[in-house]
Amino acid sequence: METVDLHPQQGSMFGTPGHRTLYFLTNQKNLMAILGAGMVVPAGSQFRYREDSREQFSGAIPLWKGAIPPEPMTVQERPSARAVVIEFEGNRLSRQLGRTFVWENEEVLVLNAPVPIRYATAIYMQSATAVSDFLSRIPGDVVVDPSLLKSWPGFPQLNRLAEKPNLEINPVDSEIDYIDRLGGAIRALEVFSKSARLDSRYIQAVLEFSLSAYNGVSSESYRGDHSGNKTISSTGVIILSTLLPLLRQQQIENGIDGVGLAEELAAELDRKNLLSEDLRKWLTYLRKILDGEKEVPPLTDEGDVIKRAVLLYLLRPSVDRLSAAPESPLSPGPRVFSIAVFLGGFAHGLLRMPGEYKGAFSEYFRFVDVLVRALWGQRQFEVKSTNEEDRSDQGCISYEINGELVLRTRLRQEPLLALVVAQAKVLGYNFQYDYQNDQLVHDFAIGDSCQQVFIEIVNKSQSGVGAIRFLSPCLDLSGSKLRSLTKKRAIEFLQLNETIKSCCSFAYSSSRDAMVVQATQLVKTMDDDELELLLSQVATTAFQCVSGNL
Amino acid sequence: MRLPTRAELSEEQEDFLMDAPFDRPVLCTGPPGTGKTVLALYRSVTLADKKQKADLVMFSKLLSRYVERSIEELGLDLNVATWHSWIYKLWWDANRLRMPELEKWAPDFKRAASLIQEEKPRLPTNLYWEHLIVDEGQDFPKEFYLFLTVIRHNDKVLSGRPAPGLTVFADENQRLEASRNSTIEDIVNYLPGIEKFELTINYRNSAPIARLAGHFYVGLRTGIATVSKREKGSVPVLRRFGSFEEEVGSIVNWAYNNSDLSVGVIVVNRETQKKMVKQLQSACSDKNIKIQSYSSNSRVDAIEFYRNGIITVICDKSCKGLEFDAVFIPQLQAYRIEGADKDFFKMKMYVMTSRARQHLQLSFSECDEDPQVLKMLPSHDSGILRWKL
Repeated sequence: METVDLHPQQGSMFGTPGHRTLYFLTNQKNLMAILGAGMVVPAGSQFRYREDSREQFSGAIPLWKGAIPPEPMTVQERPSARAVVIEFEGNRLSRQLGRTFVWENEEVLVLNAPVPIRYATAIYMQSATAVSDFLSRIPGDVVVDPSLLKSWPGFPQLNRLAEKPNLEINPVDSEIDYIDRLGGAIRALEVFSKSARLDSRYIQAVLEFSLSAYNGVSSESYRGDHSGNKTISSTGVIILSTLLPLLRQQQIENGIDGVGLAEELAAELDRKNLLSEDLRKWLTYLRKILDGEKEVPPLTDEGDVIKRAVLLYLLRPSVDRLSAAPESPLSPGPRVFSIAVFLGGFAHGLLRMPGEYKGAFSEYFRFVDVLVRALWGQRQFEVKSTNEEDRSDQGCISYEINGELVLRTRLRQEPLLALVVAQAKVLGYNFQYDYQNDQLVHDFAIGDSCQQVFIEIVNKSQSGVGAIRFLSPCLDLSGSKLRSLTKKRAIEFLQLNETIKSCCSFAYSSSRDAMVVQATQLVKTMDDDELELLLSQVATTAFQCVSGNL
Repeated sequence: MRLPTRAELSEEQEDFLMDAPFDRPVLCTGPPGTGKTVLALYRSVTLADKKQKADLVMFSKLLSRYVERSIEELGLDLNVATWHSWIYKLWWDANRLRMPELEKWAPDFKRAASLIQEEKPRLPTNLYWEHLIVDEGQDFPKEFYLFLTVIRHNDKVLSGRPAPGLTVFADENQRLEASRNSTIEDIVNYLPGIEKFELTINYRNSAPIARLAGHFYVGLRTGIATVSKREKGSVPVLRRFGSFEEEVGSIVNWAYNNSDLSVGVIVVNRETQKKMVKQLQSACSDKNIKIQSYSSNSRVDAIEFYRNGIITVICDKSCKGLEFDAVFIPQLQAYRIEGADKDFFKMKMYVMTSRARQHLQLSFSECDEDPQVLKMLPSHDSGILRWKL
């Protein structure tokens, strides 16, 4: 019995030169799974695998070099099985997969790795009628480039049957399943970002968190991103590190039940001795809402957003159901929604995603290829996000895993602030939108200097009536500087509020660690004069304070 | 609405989708909830891709309306008709005469078939259809299939064209009238060369709901899909409430928390229906939830099947053929079983409980004693029903 490593380091892709075309033999039912997943995978990892040429190679993928066997090593000759031959361009595949074959002779190369369908140059069926019949029968989530499908040519035949190796293949189900799950989460985030507001910081955090678990490191020991930022709370880490493995056991075709999943989560937390009093209370609360004993409150970005996101996901445990959540009474905040969408897509997986999440075949096949490159055989992961401007002026953020661009999310402005941006533009001001913090930033020119003014949302109601705050820092109180704010100094600021002849006032901002000058205004009633007046008064008052002229 | 993805289809549904031929008649059989109507829609999509015009004929007006809405949402070019309207129109187009009848609205198919063989139709080519999909095929008389076979093999009708396509979905356990309807054997006998496919897996209900519904089933075991495709799901719950308001409040809370799902409330009679609608309207006054009621004499086209945020209140007699994401069966104390036919009551419970796809709550309120029906329910240690009293 030959034992083969998952990622052997020996040999080149082609022991025998000159075989640039590789053939994979299967049937139409497997082809649906292959196109749905965007890749050929070993038999043990394939959704609804039906016996084909992989059967003869312990489930690994045999790619025949330039010719197919005389008696195809599949069940394809049965008329009902509807034979399919997928042709790959060897050189391109070689560049992609490198040294991942597990066995090779003159006739066949055997892989125990995902083979992206992007490298297929043709998919052959027995006749043109078989091609058109297949195309008319496939469900919408089976993505295909119709030009790839061709009728059977006269294939070169091998003279003799290939030597059959007795392979013992290391299982790769878990790695392939993870690629599928993460792929589902990423596609869900990309699609949802077109219609709802997501939070890039939390997307990055949850991607990093999930990859840290895949990396073999216990996710419970996750201590923040590569910069050490703890976007996910310690309770959040406990919840997510317990929930993500449970989600990997979910299969959408069996139904995903929020109540059942909540029960599994509680049992698993208990088993791991992680059930604190706080978590116990939270789980009881969760259950009451899921059972309809309590009405769910709006799931805004307050408190522990991971707890809220998990509640949202358990209430809407599928991507279809999550899509309607922003317009529902749940009205989740962008952070809560981003995490819930990640969980929904992760549980759903890529293969099982409806067609609208996969997009056109070219986009989908490219995505799967990039994802495989980023994850397959990797042990270290680096997630990088970059802000990009796009032509719509909305901007987007691209996310790379190990240098591969896997996700681009559209940045959507908070509607209330978007109104202010538009109004300011007419008046000649170019407010910058800070997507990270959902605020506007403007450098207000004062002589040769300038004073930075921020505009943030104070509150917004369901009816769209909301208030904004113009503010400008005038005294840095970060770290030990806070000590300089003595009682006497604080009273002086309060007295200034009484004496300054403008519509703004001084306040302490804990989120900015600073004294600020601020003014609040209802957006609905703000006319152009008010916008200019508030902007200028906040900026000049803060500038006077900074320059010691007050 | 969207059609299920491949993963959402069961393997036997997928086999039908991939293997059912188009050049000879096809029969697909299966108990309620096995997804026959979904496959009928899929078949229509496939035919549209093949540039073939499909007619979808259904027996019941309610189901026809229900499917018509699905087709609108899917943007399919498909003619949906009740079987009466389809048959009478077909005959009229070819003859400019009313269909021969045994009695009012009961077509005489044997006579019609004879007339075709005698080359009586003035415009025989108008009897041609491209592909006919018949849902609830068991409810059609067997002579209907004879009539279709005669048309499919008549040279004057075909006029050089291939025999028109035919796909029949049926479940003989659901025959409305044994004497006037068709058995599977009848259909097979009257449609020579027909290829059979069988669906056995419950596609509609989650496994826990299917198990509870199965507890009440008293018909032939072949009439019920024994296995559910959706293994996961919450166990149906039985709850006691101190007051009617609290009982209604639990429905409203659930509907509010799951505002994207459909909710059906099935009640024992019109009186309870009115009382329920009134209380629901009061409890939902500050919420964006609409209350609608349906009974057998309601206008089918007034019912909103797909809009979110609706609670539909129906009497138990009118619930056959409908399905909801969540079903609530409140006021159990109003059901009387003493002296009544227990099997009849159990079948009624089977029909009511099997309307639920993923959430099911039975409840009662304002009772000093346990309602009689509790004796008919699975015990609390059965694991089939969660007693939360």
